[in-house]
Amino acid sequence: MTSQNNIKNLTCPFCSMHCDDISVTTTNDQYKVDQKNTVCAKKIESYNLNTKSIVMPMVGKKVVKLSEALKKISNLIKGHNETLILNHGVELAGLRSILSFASQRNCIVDHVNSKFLYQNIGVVQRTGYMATSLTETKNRADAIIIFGNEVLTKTPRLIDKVLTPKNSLFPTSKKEIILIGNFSAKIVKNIKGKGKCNITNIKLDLNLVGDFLKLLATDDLKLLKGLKKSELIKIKNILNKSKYIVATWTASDFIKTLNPKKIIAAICKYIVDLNVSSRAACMPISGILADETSSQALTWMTGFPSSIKHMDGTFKHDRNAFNSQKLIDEKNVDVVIHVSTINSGKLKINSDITNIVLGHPNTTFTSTPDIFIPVGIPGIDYEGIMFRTDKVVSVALKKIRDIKLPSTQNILDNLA
Amino acid sequence: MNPVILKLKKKIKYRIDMSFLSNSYKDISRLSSQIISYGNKQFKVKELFSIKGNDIKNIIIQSSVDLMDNIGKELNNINITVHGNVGYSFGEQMLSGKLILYGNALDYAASGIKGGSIFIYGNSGDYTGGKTNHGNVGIVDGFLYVKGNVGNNSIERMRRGNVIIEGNIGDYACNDMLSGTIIIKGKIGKIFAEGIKRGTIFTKDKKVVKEYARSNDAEYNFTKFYFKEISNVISKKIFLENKNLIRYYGNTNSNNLSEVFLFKL
Amino acid sequence: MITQLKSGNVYDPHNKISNVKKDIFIQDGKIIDKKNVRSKVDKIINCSDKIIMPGAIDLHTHIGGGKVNIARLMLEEFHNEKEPGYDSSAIIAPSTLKTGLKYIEMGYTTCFEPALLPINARQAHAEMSDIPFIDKGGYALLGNDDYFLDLLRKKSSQSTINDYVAFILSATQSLGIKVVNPGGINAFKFNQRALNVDEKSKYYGITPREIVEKLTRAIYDLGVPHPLHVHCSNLGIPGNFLSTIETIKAANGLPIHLTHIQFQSYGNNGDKGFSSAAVEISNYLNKIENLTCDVGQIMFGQTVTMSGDSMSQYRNHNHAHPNKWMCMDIECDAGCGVVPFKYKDKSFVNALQWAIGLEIFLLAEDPWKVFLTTDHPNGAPFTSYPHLIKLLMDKTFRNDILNQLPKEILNHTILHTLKREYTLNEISIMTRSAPAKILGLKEKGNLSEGSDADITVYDKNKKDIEEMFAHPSLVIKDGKIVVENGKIKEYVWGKTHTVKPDYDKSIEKDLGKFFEKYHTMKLDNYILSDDEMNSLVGSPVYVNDCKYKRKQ
Repeated sequence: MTSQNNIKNLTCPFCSMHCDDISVTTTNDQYKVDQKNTVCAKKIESYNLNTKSIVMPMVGKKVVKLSEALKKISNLIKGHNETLILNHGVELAGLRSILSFASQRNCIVDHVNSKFLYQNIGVVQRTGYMATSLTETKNRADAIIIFGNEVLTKTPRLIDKVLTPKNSLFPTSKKEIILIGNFSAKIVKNIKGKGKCNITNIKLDLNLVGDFLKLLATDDLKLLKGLKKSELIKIKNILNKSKYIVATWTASDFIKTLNPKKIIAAICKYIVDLNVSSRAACMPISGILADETSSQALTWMTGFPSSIKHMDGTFKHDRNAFNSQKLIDEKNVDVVIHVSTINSGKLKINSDITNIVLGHPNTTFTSTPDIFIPVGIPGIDYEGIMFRTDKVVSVALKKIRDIKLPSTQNILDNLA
Repeated sequence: MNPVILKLKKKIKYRIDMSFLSNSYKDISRLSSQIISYGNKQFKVKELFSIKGNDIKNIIIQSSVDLMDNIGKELNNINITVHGNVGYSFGEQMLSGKLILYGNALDYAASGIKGGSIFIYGNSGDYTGGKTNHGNVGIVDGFLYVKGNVGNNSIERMRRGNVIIEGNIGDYACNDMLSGTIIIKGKIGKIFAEGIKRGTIFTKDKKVVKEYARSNDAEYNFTKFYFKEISNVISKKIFLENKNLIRYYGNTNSNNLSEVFLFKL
Repeated sequence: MITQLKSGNVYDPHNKISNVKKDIFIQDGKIIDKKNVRSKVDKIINCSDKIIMPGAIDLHTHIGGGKVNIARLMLEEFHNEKEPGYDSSAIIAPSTLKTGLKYIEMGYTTCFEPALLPINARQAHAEMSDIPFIDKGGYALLGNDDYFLDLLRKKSSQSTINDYVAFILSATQSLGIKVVNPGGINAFKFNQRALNVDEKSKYYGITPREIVEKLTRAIYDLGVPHPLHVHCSNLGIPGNFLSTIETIKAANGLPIHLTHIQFQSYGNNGDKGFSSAAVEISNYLNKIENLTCDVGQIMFGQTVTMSGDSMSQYRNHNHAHPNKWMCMDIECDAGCGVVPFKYKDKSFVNALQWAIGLEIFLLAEDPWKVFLTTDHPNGAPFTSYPHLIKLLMDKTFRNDILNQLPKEILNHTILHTLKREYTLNEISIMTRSAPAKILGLKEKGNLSEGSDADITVYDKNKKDIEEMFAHPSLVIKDGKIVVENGKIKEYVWGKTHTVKPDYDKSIEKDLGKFFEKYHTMKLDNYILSDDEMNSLVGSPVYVNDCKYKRKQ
């Protein structure tokens, strides 16, 4: 028997925009996105069950009962001396369980994206910072500077929701969009096609962003490698007449540069300085793999955003010592529990140590983990809360199908 | 009174937080029964280390390995000598006392130190003498000597104090310096002394001076040059050989209060 | 199970009981009368040398929400407190766990987050539900959101505004409404750097006075017990007592609560252009019936200021210590600013701020109208309450500290001439009964039959009043003994207090359209349902009564 169900306003769990205007049709346990033109439809649908999906717990390559798998995990952890819980993206309830589990077994907890997270956190912890959020940018910003193209490739809906919105509260002329970095013609065309905006596309090595901003801040316009003076003057004119300027970037884009922290600090300083006479703010895009959710929840529960270990009765934080990548590479942990409910990429498994994966059914690996327990996807299989990229908005995720999979919380609470 | 000698009983596999050494203990028995975490379990110090001696103000660590983090972190009025390598944050935010390391250190060694002196007779990782992980403070005061090479982002935002690097220094060294004195005898990486406000740097790397400072060709009288701890560290020979230095001041970002000196070789 | 607190010295100002030897009986988390004790008493606790008060209530403390989390993140270098039994997070920006522990150990059982941004409500409640022990709640921020200002600009009727206010209370699961720098946060987004009470904002052309008028009216009409919670215009600016007085007048005699009034009582006399206007403000406070305030006392030392008032926080960012800060414009809803700050006793301004707060306390004739807060952590962390109580109860102690402060302040304050010493009963009023009354919490702040058994028992024999208030010998929450002699006995989890006045649901249709067009999320996602509070956010909801129902 087939049962068809139409769900309007699905809140998408898969990227930090967490759009809630997606409608889907479910047929039994399969779902399809109704808006075919939504750029993300394919990605959202890729989490549908298929022939390769794993819906039963596995020990190695053998299918086992859930109770058996849980027992095995308990024994594994008891028999070992250092456990790392590596978060590849999970919702609030899962995080609460991770922390409560970690505090009972003295585990290390880290997010796989911590190194990106720390780039943006660095500004909050070291300098002055003016920030803004998506709706403010949508309605108020008349100039948006985008550094690096990952902003648009990682969160593609930013274009139609924020950069070129149909409506905005305040009558502004066309939004000025300044692209800085190496943007493909396709992306530029994509933005242009969406609606009213002027695009200025500056091809610039991201390493030179600091120098570029320094030039903008002075009256003495000198030449910069690969940049025409006319382009500089044009940007300066745009920024001078703008009333609300927003700068956006993703930290992962800058990680390839020589000194990412310095570049981000330079952008923030430039924006802060603009506020002396005008208004401007930063809106970094983060939260890929729910790292914003993780950072927020861990911060309020422990004071630290990531890389923590429960020791001597409390959570301690050390960005170096509890860096998951180094711990795994150098085999300084015995067991790694990967928690991965929304990650579509391949999970990196270091087969020299014991790997336990709590992952969604379509999880793929570089090599088979010791134990795999399929868990549901928050926002698809069960309800949950996640945080949007701009830190202030959190969304409620819904349940749209029932394939009888437990949540991360169920599993961890049963282990404890 | 003999110095306390700590030696690992077994080879260790997991990272271990050694900041307990910086606590002040009444006597050696308090130190040896201090509870510390190793892996996900707790141990007494004496269960992990063999302990000899009784002078808890003088500690020697033998056969140290680079899994041992936070040795000498926030150290106050204690001397620690380490034979072997150390992990992260060696002497981080140290207040006073002396740390001597016969081996290599990982990242964040001597970051944000506020006093005391640190001698590293090996190489040191990134952020050596740099800003701490979270704050915006580099070396506030104190003395740092590194015999070998140091990594990137080192000696960032130095406020006071003296630093001598005998080996090479990595990229982004000496950025945002506020004051203090630095001697670098080896090669210098990319982007040096950016955003420097005041302070004095001595270097042999002509490339750096060319790129980042303007010469005013003034001869600098060596006798004005002072270091409290210098005699312990650098053989006097080197200094006598280089009686004359060329003084450069300012760079593209600074307000001309900083100085960079080139050894005239 | 029945517990008896035997022959303690009871302070229960709500029932006009002051230092009377009395037995208290507890059954199923509630207080019962002696005459209703029908079964055997299971546990008798001798309280003959103890002082018994209802659990304390903090009606203005920043314990949850985006800005608190920003402060926690920003101040990582302070998270190295080494007190056994707590995590290392700094008391000026404590983790949720530490917040709960520190509050309950002081005998505080109910706390309210005053700046709950409607758009951030889900996070704020999620944070607060991770705070153990205490009951909590929040006041939703209004008055700077573009929807509301647009309603005013369109000259919408008072009933529409009432519906919107009621909708917000219900959708954000709040207990009251707070307005921060009325219209000012919004004006700052349009690059306006100051907004006086009768100054029109550039874009909307609306004055703060109109906003306060409309909101106080709405709250009165809806029967919400807690009056409008107002953080006035021009916070921290010398001479701002005039705008404070104008704001009081804007309420037109309707109930209004001015928060952290210490920051709002500055004159601009003297050669430094900064003086105390506590006398002027106190005259109003004592004269006007429907006016209440909390003080927002400052204490010397490092802290962090956090506020929704991005306009004033941006103005103050140059004073940041350590030198880092953050301001944010939020979702056409409000803003926030986090600026670390160190109050120095050598500083003329800071010393005078300290004196002004105490003046307001001591000049207040009626302790039912003034509440004890430090605006945690803006003036000082909440752990300084016992010290503050000692300052109020001990004239000598107060003057000893005053004498160590810069002598110049004596020309601008009358603190050294004030002889008043608060009594235990008055302290009990201002930390228990009065906040419960002004918040409309019928079952809190008193020891009547049927009230929640949230009780703090202090040791009468402790010589030092600060020590007595810092370490009660027994704290009972919902009838369970949670703290005994400074040791945590049991973890309990509180509930979230809300009010849900009736409103015309058709406002949701218009709001839905507004969200569809201008927001980046749907109205559905904005509304926090009771179910969600229970299951996802993790805190059950308790709905307090409004004074009356909506007229159909």
